[in-house]
Amino acid sequence: MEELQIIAGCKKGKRDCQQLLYEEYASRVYGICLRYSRDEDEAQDLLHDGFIRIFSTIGSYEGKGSFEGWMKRIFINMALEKIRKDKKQIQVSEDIENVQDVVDESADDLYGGIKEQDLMLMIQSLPKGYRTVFNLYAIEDYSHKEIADMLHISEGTSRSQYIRARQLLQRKVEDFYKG
Amino acid sequence: MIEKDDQIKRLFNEKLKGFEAKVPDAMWNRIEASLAQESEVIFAKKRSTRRVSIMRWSAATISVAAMLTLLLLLFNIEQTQDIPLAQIVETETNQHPQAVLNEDKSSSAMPKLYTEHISTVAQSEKRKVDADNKDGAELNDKVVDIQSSDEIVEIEQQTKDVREEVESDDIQKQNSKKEREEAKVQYEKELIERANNRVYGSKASSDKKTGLSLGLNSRSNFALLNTVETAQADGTMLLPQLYTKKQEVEFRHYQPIAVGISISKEIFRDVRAEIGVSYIYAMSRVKSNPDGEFDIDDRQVFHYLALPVSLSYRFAEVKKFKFQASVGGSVQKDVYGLHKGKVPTQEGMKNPLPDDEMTKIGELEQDNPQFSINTTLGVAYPIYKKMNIYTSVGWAYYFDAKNKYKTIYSDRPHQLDLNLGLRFDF
Repeated sequence: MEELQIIAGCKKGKRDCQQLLYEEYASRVYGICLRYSRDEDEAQDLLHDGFIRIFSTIGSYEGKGSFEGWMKRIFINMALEKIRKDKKQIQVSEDIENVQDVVDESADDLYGGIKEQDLMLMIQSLPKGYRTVFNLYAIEDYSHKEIADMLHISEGTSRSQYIRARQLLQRKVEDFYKG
Repeated sequence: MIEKDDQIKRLFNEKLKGFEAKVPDAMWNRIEASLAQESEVIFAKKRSTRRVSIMRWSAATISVAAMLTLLLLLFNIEQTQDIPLAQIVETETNQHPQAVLNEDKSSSAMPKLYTEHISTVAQSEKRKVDADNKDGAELNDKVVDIQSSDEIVEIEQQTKDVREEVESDDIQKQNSKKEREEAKVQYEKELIERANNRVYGSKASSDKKTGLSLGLNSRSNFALLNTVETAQADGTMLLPQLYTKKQEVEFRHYQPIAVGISISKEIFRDVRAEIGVSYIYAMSRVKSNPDGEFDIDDRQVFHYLALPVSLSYRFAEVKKFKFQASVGGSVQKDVYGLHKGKVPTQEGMKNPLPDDEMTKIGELEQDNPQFSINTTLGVAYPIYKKMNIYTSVGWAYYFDAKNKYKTIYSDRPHQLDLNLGLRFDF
């Protein structure tokens, strides 16, 4: 069954089509859920809530643009909604905003052997604010201005959060190779 | 600060951007269970909607039929309504060939005959003087052709007899002329009355009021501009699938506006019974609490059809002002409900979806009809012939309908309202 037929079936509430859609995309969006969560339990909650929302709002998808992109945006939005409770975690002091951005160019090509699961654990270990900004900037490719708009924070805060996150991750990667 | 593409960013981007993780096997069962639970709610709602829809159409049909029946009973309209009054009078006359009017015709025949005879004699005498001048046939078809003096004598004798007879009859006629004229007037009155009865009913007459009034009404709550209620959006209120958690929201109910038409009849002296049909528009705004988790700013609109009934008593009349009080009740049912809003998002966050994909519109339907009782105090004033303008203030109490969606009727059972309208008396 083609994607458009599956989507049409989901719009009619057909359970078999919903299952097909789930089977097609679950593993892809679960990767997103894991990145924005601190552990698997939280990621599974996000996956569950995200699919419920997908099925309830799929009627508003008019076929314009990539369906996978539409789904991913919904999951990311769901993840962003969840960090609101921990908004304090992305409120930083002025000294943190002035963190120096030091890029270690010498580390080029040193991290080739590391596995995705290990990197995922490293991201999950980050504080929620760092994790969210790092995901949006480094992986989703949003600019700091866009992130600032989405999270209702200043652009400087977004940038400093990212730098902090990168410093922590760099240390974790180095520790991974040492250990 | 210069943004540089760094190794850490590149590493995580390349490794995790399209990363697919193995999903636990039980996950679909969990999602399916949630979907099934939601489907049950939707199915129950659809079934209820279908049942209510049938009831709604039945109620509307019965209401219209009741209104028509009431109108027919009140006006006592018969099928002869369209027959012109003159035609009815003519028909009645033809159906009574021996009636007074025909008697009149026969009575007026005698003077006509008398006139003809006089004319004949005069003309005969003229011919006698002129001897053989003219042929009598040219004068009149009813005139006897004159051929000789014997005939003239005979005609004169006949004329004399007729004159005496006519004079005798005339005296009798003059004596009974008054009686006949009185009988004629009476009969004409009866004819007109019978004709009126055919058109307006047996109790109606041309110079008597029917006691009926037709009203055009409008009503709005005026004392309570709006109300603010705090409620838990617990999944049963709005777009249940979007509210997985309880959310504090504020309901701002705007004044319902009602317009309608009614008909009333005086059933006792100064007491009128009234029944009508009204349309009501009620809108509420649903906003999230500033401390809530989601940004919500939605609209909830209900369109109602109401059947109000009341009894009113005119307790005073000062100059042309008529003061009246009324008590009554009403039943109203939503015929269409609508919720329009956006997918709730975190406060202050940019929507990740285009605006058209964020908009949600859903139909709403209450399960039960809304009953209420009311009382009003008002005044009417005639502005043109039988047209009156009236206004009244009222109090109404709305019973708990135990409906799913909150409205001004559920949140504010006691309401004051202002009524304005026009009334036509028949």
